[in-house]
Amino acid sequence: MSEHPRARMNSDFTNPIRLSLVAAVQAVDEVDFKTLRDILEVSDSVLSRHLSALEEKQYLAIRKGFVGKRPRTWIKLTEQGRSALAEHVQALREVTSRL
Amino acid sequence: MRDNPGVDGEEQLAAIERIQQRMAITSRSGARQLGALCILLGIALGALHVLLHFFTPSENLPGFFVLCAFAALVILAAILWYQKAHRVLPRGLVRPYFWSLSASLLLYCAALALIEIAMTGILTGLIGLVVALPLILAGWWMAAR
Repeated sequence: MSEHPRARMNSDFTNPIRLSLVAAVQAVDEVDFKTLRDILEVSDSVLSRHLSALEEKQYLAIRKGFVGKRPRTWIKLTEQGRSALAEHVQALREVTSRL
Repeated sequence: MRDNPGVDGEEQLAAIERIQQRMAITSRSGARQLGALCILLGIALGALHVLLHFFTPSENLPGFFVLCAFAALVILAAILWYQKAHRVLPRGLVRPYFWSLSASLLLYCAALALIEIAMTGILTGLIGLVVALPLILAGWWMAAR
């Protein structure tokens, strides 16, 4: 019996904020922390927590820099993150197509 | 294990769609900013080439240095503005930016060989336009996305 597509859904993306975060970053090459926070409508601490978790999984690469004297944090999706999201979305489509 | 992965699946797909639509709006703004930078850099390089024909080192060395310094300031100001203003780097724009900048710089270097040659203002202007064109076209394309 073939595996049900739900088995290929990524447990790291079950949290709706993490899924939205990864989907948002997937749409661009790089985005800064403030813009991502505003788009996701979450607080700094919530976003930081999810970014750290996804960075640990190597789905995201985080780069810290400065613009003048102000720090700026840049986030981009790694190839691993891109593949993980693509696989998760494919599994979601297969699950919903079975309805 | 999910009780109803189908419904959750639809909700997740809808959430992805929503967030990516919001990101697309922000991304357009990023593309316009990078496009503006390209156009500014193109104009600066083209204008510098044209003006250097009237302020050649052999005829007007102080003027030559002032012009070069002014051009460097304009280019630096444009880059600093972009660094401060941009918050998103849209997908698929890094390579066009890199190739158009390289092309304009190569054309500028090639045009430098003609700087001491006497030529009409129109021809000088045309060469300046050719130097600026790769960046201006790339910038226009980015801004129009």
